Amino acid sequence: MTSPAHRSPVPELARGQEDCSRRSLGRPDDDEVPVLEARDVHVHFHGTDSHGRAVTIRALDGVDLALYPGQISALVGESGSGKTTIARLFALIYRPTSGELLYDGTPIRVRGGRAERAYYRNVQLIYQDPFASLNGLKKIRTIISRVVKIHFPRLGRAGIRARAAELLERANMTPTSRYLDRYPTDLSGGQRQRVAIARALAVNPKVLLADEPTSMLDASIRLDVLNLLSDLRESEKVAVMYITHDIASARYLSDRINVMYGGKIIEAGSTESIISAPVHPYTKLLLSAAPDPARYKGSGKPTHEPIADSRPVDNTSDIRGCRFADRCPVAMPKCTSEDLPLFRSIRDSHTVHCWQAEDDADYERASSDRSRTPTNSAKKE
Amino acid sequence: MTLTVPQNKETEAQILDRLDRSPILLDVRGLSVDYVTEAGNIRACDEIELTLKRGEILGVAGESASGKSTLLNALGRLQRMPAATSAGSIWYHPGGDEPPVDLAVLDEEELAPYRWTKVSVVMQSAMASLNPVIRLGEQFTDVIRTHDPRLGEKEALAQAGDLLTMVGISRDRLTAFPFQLSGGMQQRALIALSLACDPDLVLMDEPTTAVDVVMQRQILDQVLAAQERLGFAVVFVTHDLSLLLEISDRIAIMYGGKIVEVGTAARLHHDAKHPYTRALRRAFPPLSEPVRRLSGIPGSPPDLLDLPSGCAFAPRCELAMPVCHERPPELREIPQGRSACFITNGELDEAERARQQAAASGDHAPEGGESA
Repeated sequence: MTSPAHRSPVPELARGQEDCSRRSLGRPDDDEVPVLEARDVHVHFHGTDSHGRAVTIRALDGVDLALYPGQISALVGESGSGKTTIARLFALIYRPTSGELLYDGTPIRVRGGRAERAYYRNVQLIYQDPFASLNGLKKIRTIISRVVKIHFPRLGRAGIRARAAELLERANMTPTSRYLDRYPTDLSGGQRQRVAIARALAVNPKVLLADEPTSMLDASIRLDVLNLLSDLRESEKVAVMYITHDIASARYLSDRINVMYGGKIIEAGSTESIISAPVHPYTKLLLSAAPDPARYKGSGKPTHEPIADSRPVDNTSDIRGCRFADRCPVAMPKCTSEDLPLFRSIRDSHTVHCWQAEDDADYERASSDRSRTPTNSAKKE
Repeated sequence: MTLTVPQNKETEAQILDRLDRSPILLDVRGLSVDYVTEAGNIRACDEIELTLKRGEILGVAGESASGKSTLLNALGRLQRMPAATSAGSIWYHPGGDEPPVDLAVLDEEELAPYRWTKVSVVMQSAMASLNPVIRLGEQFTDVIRTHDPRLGEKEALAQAGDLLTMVGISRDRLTAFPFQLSGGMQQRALIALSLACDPDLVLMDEPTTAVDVVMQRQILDQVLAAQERLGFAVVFVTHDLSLLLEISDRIAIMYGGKIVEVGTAARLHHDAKHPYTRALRRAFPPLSEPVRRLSGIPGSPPDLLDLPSGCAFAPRCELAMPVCHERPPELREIPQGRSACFITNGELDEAERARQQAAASGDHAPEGGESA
């Protein structure tokens, strides 16, 4: 669908070469091609530290992620772990420093022009703040029809009108006549977010990148937005990447959960397997720290496990092994003296970058993890 | 630094018993707060009745514009025009033989001795609460020495260091400016500052909303550990009902400027009486309990300028009866708390309630709210 302009100096990886390791990051049970995929992607930013020295910030440090049609993948992790960077990478706002992005199995090489527009038709971003992402001076009708006009110029005036109404309907904004001629300021946060989703649907996207779409919304309307995303997965077979820090909502909505820490997906698997059998100590920490109504006061259940001091991750250093090691309650010497290992569950598609899986009979060591090696990526640059 | 994890060993009965034996700290009677606007007065808090015991952790939950922050500001006498306390009293019981004082009628000068030493506040945005151009240590000693002028600078600094250590920040950060701390550390520093003068009551307005879950948990652990040691009472305002269920002795649910239900965490968890509380509970997906399809609350929050004449929740309530649209229900005592819903507060007698419910099911679908 994209017409790759071969301008990137990144050498194309031989296809099929590392597929055995890749497949199980997605669904192991079929050969479906991911609609959007990141392979060993690094994104580095150049900045200065508090002393004014130049540093390289490793926002993404070797990320493998695949999004499949009709599947919702959640991305959870603390602030600064790289969640939004992945969304902006897929939206072509950032370019990978090294590594590869693939759309429908084809490397993405678009930069501007038609190819880029075609890409945006397939991949849409939904922002966190529906108060900032809609133009307050335009009517809902204009906000939605503009997208339709740009991408389907041949529809004609009547066609565009009909399409705008249809889109609102798909976002459960009915009766549409009540909303089309109103301004964003007339609507509640949840309604605005649904307008933003309707607008994203205008181009019949294959992928929705939802960056904390409900964090600004009140509890009573948050679920409507989550349910809408869930329904779109069924009805439109759209692939959704759901970024959140609320692991309970990730469990509610998604098919897979990817846990990020320090620019890496440190654990990934089906939702139930991540929630009920987490392996990585950081995933356990995240699950333990999240509020759980079942542990209400008076229930006699301790609210959580002890929590090691929470320091912001330092992703400016080029370290060997695991970035979580200095906070990890079960860290071993080899966590920082050896390369980060990748273990894969024998039974399902659960993968984890942690030595804790070594003695677990359910897990086997995957082939050496090249995504860690910074020398490798440096060479590519 | 690892912390002691709150043990949560008390049963509901033990919590109720402890609250029962504890003396009253704050007695709020008919407190109303209005925002004066050109379109008319907006009543953000309407006749709030609240009793807080010494050492109690009271959670206040509600959505945007439910009046929860307004209530907190009114309790701390922090509101500025256009908000004004228009009615009611806030009786503070100093303990011992001293008579209660109505904080709502004191002027600024009379109020000064109560600030920090009796009642202190932690706001959501730490960066906005701390002075960015003054070192942390000085902000602490300023508070400490204002309320205890006999203390020297050195002793005050030592105290400030102890306070910071208590919330897990190293003493040497006293020389830091607020912007040199991470968001979580700023918030913890603010909590330490609120405890500087050993208050009886700390008012907390969404103190952990701006930080991520791991940091939130650490901050809560520190608050609870300090609370256990120092015994202050807490009014904790947040929209996160899941969180309140874990930390609060009692929880008050607000809707449309009114308290609609009060109860222990245990009762709200499995036996919430108000339909709004139940709807709010359902709006938070569970973490360990089985997942099923949940639904939000239909409709939108009430317009405070144009409140319905009956119960503010009635237009969104699937169990609403004719009487619910006619007059607002009273907030009445029920076992383990209070409820402001005609179905559960005992305001209607059996026969009348049955008649009302029959009338309601006539023009509604059969009540499947709970099982749907």
